[in-house]
Amino acid sequence: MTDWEAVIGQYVGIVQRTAYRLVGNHADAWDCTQDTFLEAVKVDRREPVRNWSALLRHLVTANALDLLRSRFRQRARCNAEVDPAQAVSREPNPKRDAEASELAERLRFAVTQLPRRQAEVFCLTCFEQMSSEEVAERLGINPTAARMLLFRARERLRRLLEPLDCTVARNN
Amino acid sequence: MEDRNGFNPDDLLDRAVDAVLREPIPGELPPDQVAQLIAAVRQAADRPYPVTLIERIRNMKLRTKIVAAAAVLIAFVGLLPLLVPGGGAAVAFADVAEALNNVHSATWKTTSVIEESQGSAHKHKRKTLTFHTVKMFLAPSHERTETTGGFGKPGEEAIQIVDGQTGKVICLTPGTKTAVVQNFTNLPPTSPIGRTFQSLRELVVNAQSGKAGKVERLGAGIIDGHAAEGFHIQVGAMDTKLWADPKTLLPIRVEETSVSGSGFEVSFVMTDFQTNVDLDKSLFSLDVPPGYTVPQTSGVKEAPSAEAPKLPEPKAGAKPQDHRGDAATATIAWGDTVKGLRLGLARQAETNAPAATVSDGSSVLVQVSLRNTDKAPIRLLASVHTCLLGDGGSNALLVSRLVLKPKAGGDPFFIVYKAWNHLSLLDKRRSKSEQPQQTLNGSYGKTDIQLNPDDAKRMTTVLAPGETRVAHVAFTLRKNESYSWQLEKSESVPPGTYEVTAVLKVDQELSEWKGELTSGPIQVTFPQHVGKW
Repeated sequence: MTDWEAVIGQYVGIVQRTAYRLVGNHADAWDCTQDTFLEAVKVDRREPVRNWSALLRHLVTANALDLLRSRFRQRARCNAEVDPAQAVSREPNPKRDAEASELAERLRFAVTQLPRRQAEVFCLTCFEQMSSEEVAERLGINPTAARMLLFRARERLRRLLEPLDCTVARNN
Repeated sequence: MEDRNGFNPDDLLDRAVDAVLREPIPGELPPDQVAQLIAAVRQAADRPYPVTLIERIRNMKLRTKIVAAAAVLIAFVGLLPLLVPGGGAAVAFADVAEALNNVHSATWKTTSVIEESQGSAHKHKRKTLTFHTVKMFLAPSHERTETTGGFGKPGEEAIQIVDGQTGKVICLTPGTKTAVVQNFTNLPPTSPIGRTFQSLRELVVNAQSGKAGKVERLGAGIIDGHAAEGFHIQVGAMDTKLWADPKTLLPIRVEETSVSGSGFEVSFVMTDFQTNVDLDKSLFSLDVPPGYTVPQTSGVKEAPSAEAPKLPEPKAGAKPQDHRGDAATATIAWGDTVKGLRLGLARQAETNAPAATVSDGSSVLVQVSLRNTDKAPIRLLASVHTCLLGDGGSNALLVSRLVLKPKAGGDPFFIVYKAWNHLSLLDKRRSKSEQPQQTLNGSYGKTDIQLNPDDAKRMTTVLAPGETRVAHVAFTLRKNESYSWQLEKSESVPPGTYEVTAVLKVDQELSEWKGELTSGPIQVTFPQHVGKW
């Protein structure tokens, strides 16, 4: 039987940080964290878990992406023109550099525009610093496919970020 | 220009990734929040998990999949005659309902298993009680139950005969030749006492008419050696599988499972049905058989309904009733009426279980009643947690505490509910896993739940004028767990005699009725420590 106290004790920090990095606020990150461990219970019932770290980072990334997608969709319904930079309500941080902040928010929005698998591979590789092999094993694909998904994700993200690039260039 | 680790400052995407990674991330979660998460996850892990067919297939090895597929094919070919028209055509659920309604007598066997999770997730053990009963039904309302095993002494037999219409119950213990007679007046129509067959009928009829629950076909199968047509009925937390004979349309096997939030999983399997058989009326006699002694005869006087002749009201603060080992009786000790409601406490009366069940060392088992003495219906927000008390869902009521006052003097003991994860009457917080119906309005570390009025309506319970809601409660103490009944300021309750009262506090903003009710006292004797591990 799984010692959930030990699993949570060891990984709750990683899960919460991963969630926070994507969703950008405490309340949503906490929701994702809870959902992640509850989903982990289901996974643990289905199959033995060999790599808790990879499993939890994958689950929390998927949860956070779902939350971001629904948040942007909801905002899109409310506002004819969505301003992604406004869509994520960050907690105030006066030290944050304005451009970096905007870039980060644009990237979060852009990631939600990717196909699910591409988004997961991108987040796990770029934010969680997982290797292609680790990502591939977790997602049940081969490493070449993982690298291909990452490549496509990056290409698409660059295109999605282009309008901002022009704005930055104009401002400069 | 490319930096180390492949970072290219000229690449907008790399800069964006870097910006995300450089953002400050808050520190550690507070320990109490982690504890909450552990409790919620343990609770989820303890919950029974129905493995779906798809999941089973997914987990199969290739060879097993091939063998299973072949078996399914063979079974399909074998069952083909049952599936094709004229060769065992699919049974309509409405026909099953009608056939059940036409039954005037029946016998069947029931195996009941009550499992209680004990201890924490990593030191988990299950306590299982199994009852084997032979049941008989005679229309319109008589039922006889012959029980072995379970709470009683090993092999001890107990017989319970109930007339659901008059509310008269007789419990016989052939081993000791004792009989206990009880009278339940104005038994609520939903009371399960002696209404197993009737409850099954109602379940099927209500599901068929769409009044309560939903029905799914399970298809044809071979059950206990007979061709059968299966139906799955789901009503709230209760799952029922009914397998009917395609020819007689009557049940062959019924399986029921329900899980309570307090950790009990109850499952019944009803088999060996014989219907419309000749049953001797003497089997349902409510007279005390010759040679039997009656230790005490008592009645549980339910509140009179508006139409019923007026019965004397129970006195508030009634004299404590002694519930020792041999007295399988129950009298409700009522407390004062507060704004039309009064709370009553009694020993568990209708389980025909020996009195040792007042406590088994970790639980205090009592019967709690809530009565509307007013002329108007009373609506109160009880609890959103299912099955804490009562039959779950919107009918659940949460008793706030149990007070145990030693007869020998000294400070009282309090058993309180320490759940963080319920919108209970004591605490507004509950876990994410149980939040499907409410809106969260909170910030980090402190989450307040706000119910909108529509959600609150679903979570209220309404007591009609004169209605009494009766529920059996196991105040099960758990060691070192933050989400259970716990003793306040003490480790255990020593053996001895106690005057016990229950307290129900309703102070939710959205509850139409607010107040605090205290039951009358009952007297119980614990032969052993309660809550000492």
